[in-house]
Amino acid sequence: MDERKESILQLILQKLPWNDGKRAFRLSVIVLVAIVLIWTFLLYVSLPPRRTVVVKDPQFSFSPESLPDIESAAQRLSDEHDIHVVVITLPGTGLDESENKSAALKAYKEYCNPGFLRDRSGICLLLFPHVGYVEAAVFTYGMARGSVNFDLEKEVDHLFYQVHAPSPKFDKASSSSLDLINEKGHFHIGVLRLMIVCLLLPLLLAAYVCMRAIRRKKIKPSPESYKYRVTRNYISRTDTFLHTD
Amino acid sequence: MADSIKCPNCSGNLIFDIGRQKLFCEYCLSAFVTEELEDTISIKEADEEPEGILEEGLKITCNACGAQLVTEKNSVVTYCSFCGSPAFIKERLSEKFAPHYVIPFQIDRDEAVKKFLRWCNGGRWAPCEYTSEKTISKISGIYLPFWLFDIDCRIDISAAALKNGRPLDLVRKIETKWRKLPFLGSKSFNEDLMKAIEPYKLESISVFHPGYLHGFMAECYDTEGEAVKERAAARVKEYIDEEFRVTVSTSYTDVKKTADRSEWKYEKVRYAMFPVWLLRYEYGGKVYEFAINGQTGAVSGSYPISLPKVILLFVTVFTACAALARLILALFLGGLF
Repeated sequence: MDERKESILQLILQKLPWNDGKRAFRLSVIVLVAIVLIWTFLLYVSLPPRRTVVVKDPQFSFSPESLPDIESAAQRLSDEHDIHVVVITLPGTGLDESENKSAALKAYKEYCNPGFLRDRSGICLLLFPHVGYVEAAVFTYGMARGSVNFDLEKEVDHLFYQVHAPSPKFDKASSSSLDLINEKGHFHIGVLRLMIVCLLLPLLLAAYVCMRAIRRKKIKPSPESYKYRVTRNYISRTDTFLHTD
Repeated sequence: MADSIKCPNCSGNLIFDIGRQKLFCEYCLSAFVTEELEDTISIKEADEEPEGILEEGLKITCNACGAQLVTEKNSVVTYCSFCGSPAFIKERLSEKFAPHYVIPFQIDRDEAVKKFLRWCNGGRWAPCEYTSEKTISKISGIYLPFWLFDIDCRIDISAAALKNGRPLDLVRKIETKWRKLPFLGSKSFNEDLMKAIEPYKLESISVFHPGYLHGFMAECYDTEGEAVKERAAARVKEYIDEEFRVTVSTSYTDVKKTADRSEWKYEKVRYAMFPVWLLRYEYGGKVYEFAINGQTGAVSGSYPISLPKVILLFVTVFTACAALARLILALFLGGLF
């Protein structure tokens, strides 16, 4: 290490806050306060939010009689899997996947917004009723993401297949779809994953970092023999192979 | 009476200046090589060793101010606590305590402090006090007593081994000589630590002169050369094994010694003073030692770990990782949008 680097290193080492008890104490207090604030925030965002169940029919596709059935099916789904449920009828054809996605996101954000980083696990059922048929799309969020697989989506589609809207069959298909998702949806084990990812892994990582940091330097053994050797003469160096049968 | 080497020009205290490698007068800025001051002090003229000189609390008189001082057990050089004059005790450098050799300090105090701070990473995980000015001021330059052994050895080892899968008997007879193999002659210091900062560059060893000690602490031996031979024998055995291993390269496998008829004799045993920068720090009821080879700058030791700092590190890393994990989880599983 050259002279300049050496003096810079020396300067840094002397300026380190932990070289001075008072500065180290102040730094510790700041760090501890930050830690407490972070944990308070993490605890707050981990609290389960009140689940929202929304059934909206701006297209007036559901009959007033069937609405309670759809709402109760949505409530059952929400209660049993601890998720938000949004069922909404929208204008349009429902054939454009990206449009559906943004429409679902918009509707879901509008009705289910528990706050930054808080659990938004839920399902949004989009219905596009047209003259002649109904297009249905299912979107999942948060811990419920991916809980409705491709086969289940096909089954939901099938329930609405060739249903004329508005009709009692369409209403029935809506509540049946929610029941179907309730029964067959593969919901993630959210809490366990959250514990492993947010607590266990960081705990192991912190333990590893601490072990590395406090690893003590080993005291070297005695210097090698050659450091003090002045002469070495080989008198005899014989290898005799043994006869083996 | 304690002695100190005075400047022939102004009678001020002379201190061995590491940079100049001379005795230096801070008052008139004169510098002298030790040989120039042969007549100023002579350890050969020392009185007989007073009775009980190696017991604790030897009373001496400072020749600069006349104050009565009490020295540590085995101290050769000390400082007058009244006038600050360096003072060495002639009796502990004379007769059987007269060293043959000395290696003068090459590493100065500033360099030693730099090495200390770099070695402990600025005291990152040590208690705050460990790198404080107070502790750093305790890093002291000290000459420690070493016995230097000249050893002639005849290695004669038979072994059974496999070479390329074939069994064979092998015999190794080697004559080897080790010179100035150092062994600590004091029980008050950690021998493993001293071994760790070896080797010294023995080619620059000097004939002893008390001037080299001026300005530093120094200890005389409390273990006779004869008593050190047991330790020397253990090290020689290690070296014999090492020499033998060199002759059985990687093509030999499953090497088992069948007989070891090695012999050695101690040709000469001499007494020398070697320079060490030393720090002793007590924390949690345990003493942590740090040493720098005063000639080569090799460092070794152990430093205390501050439990509060480690807990704080653990909690900080845990919190940061947990927060990051939660953020990543939210990105993947929703929550942020």
